[in-house]
Amino acid sequence: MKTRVTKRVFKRILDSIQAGKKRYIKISSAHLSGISYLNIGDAGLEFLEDLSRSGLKFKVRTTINPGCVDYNSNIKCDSEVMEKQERIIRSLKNMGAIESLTCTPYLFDNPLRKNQKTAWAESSAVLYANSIIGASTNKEGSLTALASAILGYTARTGVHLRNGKKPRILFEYNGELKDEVDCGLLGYVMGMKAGAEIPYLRIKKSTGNILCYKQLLAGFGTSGAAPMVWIENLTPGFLRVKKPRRKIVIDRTELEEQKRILSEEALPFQGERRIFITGCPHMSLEEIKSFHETLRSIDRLSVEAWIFTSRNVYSEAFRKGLLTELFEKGVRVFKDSCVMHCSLKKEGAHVITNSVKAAYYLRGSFRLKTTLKSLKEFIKEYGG
Amino acid sequence: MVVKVKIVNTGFARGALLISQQPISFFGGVDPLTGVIVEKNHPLEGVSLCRRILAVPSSKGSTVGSYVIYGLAKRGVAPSGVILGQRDSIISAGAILGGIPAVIADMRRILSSFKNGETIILDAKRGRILRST
Repeated sequence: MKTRVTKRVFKRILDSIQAGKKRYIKISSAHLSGISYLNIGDAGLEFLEDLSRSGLKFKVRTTINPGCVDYNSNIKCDSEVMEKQERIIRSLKNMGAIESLTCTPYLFDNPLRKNQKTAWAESSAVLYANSIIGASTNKEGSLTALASAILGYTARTGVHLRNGKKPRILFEYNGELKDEVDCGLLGYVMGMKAGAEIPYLRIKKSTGNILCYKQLLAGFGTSGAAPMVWIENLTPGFLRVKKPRRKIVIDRTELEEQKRILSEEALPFQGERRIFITGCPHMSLEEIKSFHETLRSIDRLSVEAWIFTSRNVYSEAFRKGLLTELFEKGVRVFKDSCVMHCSLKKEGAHVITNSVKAAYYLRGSFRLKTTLKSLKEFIKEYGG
Repeated sequence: MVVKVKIVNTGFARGALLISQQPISFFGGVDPLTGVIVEKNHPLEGVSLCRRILAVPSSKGSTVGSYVIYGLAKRGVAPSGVILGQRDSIISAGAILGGIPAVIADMRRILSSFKNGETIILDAKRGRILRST
């Protein structure tokens, strides 16, 4: 059959994204996107099962994005979705993937060092790897990351080139960043303005908070195409990099405008199902601790709260006794699943979230109502 | 009449030229089992891509389109060749996975050199398109 998938086919995929002379660079790890059945559907499932049967294996450490199901949760989905999601994961495991099922592989499953060359898909992880750790990965697509995982090398383009990480625009933000939502919005506005160009960011009133930058980068990856942001006083090597001459000053009103666009104008009406969702990108242990800490001040919540994390962070948080207290207050904790969870699509719920990325996709792909609120604002409004 | 093109995926194809003026979304816009365009109000709605040489400016929509093209090829209902108006990672990857010859061409040259429906030869080994005799 002429559709047999071989190594040569994957090499051609890497060639197809390069103009002119084809060059490659060895990588030490890969991270794959396009795992959720809700995203890739039957077409993707069929391809991955064929590929798995072909006998090809991953050549480097390979982790995978979350799916759309947590098999240990009481929140179930259609049996067809659950079965097909399981087959996708099984196919990738057969090829040697680590069953990480998280969009934050840099925390446990696929740790990176400075200057390490990798091929990662999942935009928020790519932005984190380049901008915070100082590693090098392009913003790979599902298929180029898959090709690189199989071949052990990737196309030598973008950040892998000599001047590939050079910043081209200087963004200056003089306003306030009062919470994680502001941080996500700043990233989102930057991404809209930067397009494919790598920016250098100077924040006058720097918060110095890693969680703020995690949201900022996830927001940037949602609206922009560039694989990194140089963050002053944070990105390894920021002192040595030549600052771009082209400068754009971002105003707080631009953040507020995007917040309005990503939030419902009318307030949630009485009796409407409201769910607070956090964990996009997946929560780290520190974030769960701080959520846990904030919840201590209240007895109960008047709306549902769903939080999403990786199985590794879940186990760690469970061992520390953090989750039992969350369960007592009615918080649902999901692992292995993206916030684009299989049950949410049909719920028709109004989602309140502190993640700009989650608001963008839940609104765009799942057609849900969304409102952006920080964790603090949420607790203040719905805690009793 | 010979038109020079850039090679994306090597191979030969011969078939009737099908020109799409509009981009195509393979995921959602094409029936994955039959290769018929199903996108509402697309100029080619109802037209089958099966064994045609498809000339299209680019893809649009989801990157899952690559997997759909692979599935069409597996079922024998994919285009036998693809001519792209510009670099396009979704269609290129799909063509490569499905073993479909694919090239990038200047769409205006294609439109002025060949008629929709005429049989052409896509030579994606030497990078040219010619009229079939």
